[in-house]
Amino acid sequence: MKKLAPVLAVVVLIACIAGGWGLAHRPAGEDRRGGLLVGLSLDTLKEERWQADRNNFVKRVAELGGETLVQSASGDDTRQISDVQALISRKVDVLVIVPHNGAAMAKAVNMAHEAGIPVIAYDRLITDCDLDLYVTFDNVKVGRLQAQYLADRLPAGRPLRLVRIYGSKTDNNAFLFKQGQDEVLAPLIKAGRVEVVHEDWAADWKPENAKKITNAAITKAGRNIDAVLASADGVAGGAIQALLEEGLAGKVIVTGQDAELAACQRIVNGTQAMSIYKPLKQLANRAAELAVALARREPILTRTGINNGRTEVPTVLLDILVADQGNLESTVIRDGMHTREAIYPNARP
Amino acid sequence: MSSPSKFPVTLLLLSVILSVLTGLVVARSGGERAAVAARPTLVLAVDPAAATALGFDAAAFTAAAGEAGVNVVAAALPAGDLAERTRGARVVVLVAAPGIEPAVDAGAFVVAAGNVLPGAELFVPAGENLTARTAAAAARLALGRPLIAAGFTPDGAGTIPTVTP
Repeated sequence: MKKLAPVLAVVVLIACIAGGWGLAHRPAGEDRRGGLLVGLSLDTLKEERWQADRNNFVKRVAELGGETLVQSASGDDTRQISDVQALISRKVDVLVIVPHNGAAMAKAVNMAHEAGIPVIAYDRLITDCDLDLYVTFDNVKVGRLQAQYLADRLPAGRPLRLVRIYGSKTDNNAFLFKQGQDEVLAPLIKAGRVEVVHEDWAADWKPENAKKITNAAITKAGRNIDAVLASADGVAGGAIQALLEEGLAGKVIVTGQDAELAACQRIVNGTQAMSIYKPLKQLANRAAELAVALARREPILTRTGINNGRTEVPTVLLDILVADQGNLESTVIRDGMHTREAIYPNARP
Repeated sequence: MSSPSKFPVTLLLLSVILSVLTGLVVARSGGERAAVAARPTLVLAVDPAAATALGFDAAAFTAAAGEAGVNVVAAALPAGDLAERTRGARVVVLVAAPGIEPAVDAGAFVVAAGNVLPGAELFVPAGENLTARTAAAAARLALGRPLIAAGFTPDGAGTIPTVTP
């Protein structure tokens, strides 16, 4: 042992120098299996929509030779900041954030930039910061299509009596949906073709808040309601619950967005008229491809920019379309978002 | 003074401490080198007559790109060795007379400033502040930051994404 110790010491010395040398010469973004490391910070994973987004995103990054670390904040701003800190400390090459609160996450973007990590906002804009890239659907068009669906179904000889349920005020998208809706509705309201009998914001996009808004609308305006312009499927579900209790479900046109499974089933049943189909797999795949390109510092051009209060953020917009009874087969089913059996549970084989 | 029996253990411990310190020093110096190497390079290839006609100032371009954190390697046009010069650069900016083929085949992203060049991937139209607009766009791309190119310009074969004023 006494004879071996000096030899061992020399071996350890060489090993440590080699280790230090290796650490010093490790290329950025190449310090783990598969090369690039992508950080994905999600607002929540409670809803099926975000689980699908995560799965598709992680799969596409893996196909491109990268690895994804996923964090979910369960709708808590403080926790999401901690999640981002954790991802930064893991030395991710790029961060992709679905913010719970677009304003609060500006801090996370600044922290990432201090560490030299670029940031992509996924589906929801992060405001008042020097965000690198924003990938989303054309959210103004979402609102425009929802409102146009109603504009194409105005009653003859009297105004359409409308309840408007907006989304969460902490989500910038809610304002974009409203902007698109206003573009279509404003002239019709001015012309007396549409009468807004009640309107409100559904906090945190919760169905129970939408139900309360619908109950308030019925209390205020009576049962004589033609349509509920709900900005998303979750709030549409809450509104329809209130309409069911009043015996109005199926008699009132209800809009939605996201083509969630429950919404597609309601469309089949006739209690919800339409949803907006957003090819979520396309969004996740495109975001993954852009994240990998950004991590590799490849040049990226976008056709458009969206002002986030600080700067024009380069933005990639993906297209969307209306889903209703006439095209569920050629949209959500064909793209594999939901199975035919799930949407039509009572259909004969 | 250590006893003979403790000598190998002491030597072992000393060696470990020294080797860890050595490793850290090497890591630190290597990190500094990596930071220097991280500063991206873009190539600016200019046809002097075209630059004069367009009011493009290569020195001002180099200064502006440098301030943004990008090194600039200059080349003259027309030049047969452009592909060789652009090797390793993410972005090459060409200020060329119309009709000059860029002859860039090194995988770099080609920005045409002032005059449309077939095969370029981004066009910065001629006009006021061409130098500053081109430097801002090229430096942003070289740094790996996405850029808005809202317009399109015909290039004979198709269209080139274009930076709008």
